[in-house]
Amino acid sequence: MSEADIFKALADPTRRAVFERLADGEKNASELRDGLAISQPAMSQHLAVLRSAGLVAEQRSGRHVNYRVEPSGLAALDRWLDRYRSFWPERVEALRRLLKEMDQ
Amino acid sequence: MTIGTKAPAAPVALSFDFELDAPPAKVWRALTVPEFVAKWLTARIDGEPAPSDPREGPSSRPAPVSLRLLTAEPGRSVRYLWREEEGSLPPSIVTFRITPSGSGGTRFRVVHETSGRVLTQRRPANHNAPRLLLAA
Repeated sequence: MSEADIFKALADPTRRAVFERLADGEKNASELRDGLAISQPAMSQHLAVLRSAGLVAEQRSGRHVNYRVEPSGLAALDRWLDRYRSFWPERVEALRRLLKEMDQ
Repeated sequence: MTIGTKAPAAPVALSFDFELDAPPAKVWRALTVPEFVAKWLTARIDGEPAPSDPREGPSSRPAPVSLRLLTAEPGRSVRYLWREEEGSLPPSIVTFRITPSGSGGTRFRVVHETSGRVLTQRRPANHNAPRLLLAA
């Protein structure tokens, strides 16, 4: 699992929607498809991509398979966000200093 | 929207809004002239070397970044492909947008997207695609 895999997986709007649904709580494949115009094979494929990126985990209980968000995948996203959340305000302070030095 | 362990969303972009005292034309130059960008962002554009800023110590220096200009709407917005020279972070896209503020200053918006599309496409991601935007 890498950040690149995670961002690639989430670059697809459908996969993003699926991931957001799982963020609300564990679901099975048919619950995930509710309200989405997407076939079962396509859903399986999206889930496979999300799983290989480390964003989603599956759990079998009897005949059912439930899907949930994988916390370590979320942590990788949080690392990216944390980095740039502090980065930009710091850089903009440097921009303010530069603007004071520049000629009109 | 916030990120939390209870209801985590899929974060695809970070958005920041700033107010700057300088007029938009001046801010535009700071955002697009390589020499200025190198100074405040410690980044180089399209392979130009980044001069170091002696006022900032090594500890405060962020990893050097290389930028590639993707699109620009002169005086209004510019979009760069963003690549960290160190570490394993994948390329991302940064958009700077400026608008005049009432007081002669500039409203400055930074949107930083983690779109995986930039890995496979030369053009920026489709603007019409729905995406989440997190206000930082």
